[in-house]
Amino acid sequence: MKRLLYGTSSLIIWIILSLTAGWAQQATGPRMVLEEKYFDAKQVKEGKIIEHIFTVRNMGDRPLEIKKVNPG
Amino acid sequence: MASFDRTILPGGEGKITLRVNTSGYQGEISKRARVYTNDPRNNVELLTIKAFVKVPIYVSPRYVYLRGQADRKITKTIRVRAQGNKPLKLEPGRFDLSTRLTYRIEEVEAGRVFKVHFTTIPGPAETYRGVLKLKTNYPEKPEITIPIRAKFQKGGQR
Repeated sequence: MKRLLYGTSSLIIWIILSLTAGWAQQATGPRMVLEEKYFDAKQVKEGKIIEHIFTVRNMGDRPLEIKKVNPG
Repeated sequence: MASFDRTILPGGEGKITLRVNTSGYQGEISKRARVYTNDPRNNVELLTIKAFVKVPIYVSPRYVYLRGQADRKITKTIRVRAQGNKPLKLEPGRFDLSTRLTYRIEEVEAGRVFKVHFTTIPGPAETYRGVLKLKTNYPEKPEITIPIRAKFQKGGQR
């Protein structure tokens, strides 16, 4: 009986700790979410400049810094 | 080219603008940009822009690359295809490798498909590059530029 009680309480503590740790990890810091990562401009004439705006959301609780964007 | 919002506040939204200049391209293209952020779980993201660039005249391959033994003749062929309904005419233009290569234009399908055959003139082991320009009767593409690159080694070497 003692062993069963010990095992159950250990399991409950472990679950609580895991949930707390997961929540803490999810809520801390900036979090980049891109609406899309890929854009198909379909058919374009040579010489045309394709321009596309990608939207970025910050779902975290700290400011998201975009350090650089490297084309190529 | 890229422009972007440097800081996005929690719950906010920002923009990354990518621009792709299609000059000099033909057919399918895919351009990528890497986005570096301070997101600890996802500090690099890849953005892709894809397109199909339509040109009045297709050249395939776009470059000529000749490689081999300097004392042997090597031939490479490229294909030129008109995309419009108007019959295409090709005329020789500037060619800056006439001492090292010869070329011949073959009309495969009248006014539509051509082949340009390049043949090396055996000579010393060397590396060089140049261009062949062909004049066309298409006002939207009056000239085709074919870049040429060559690398030759002494006979018997690899």
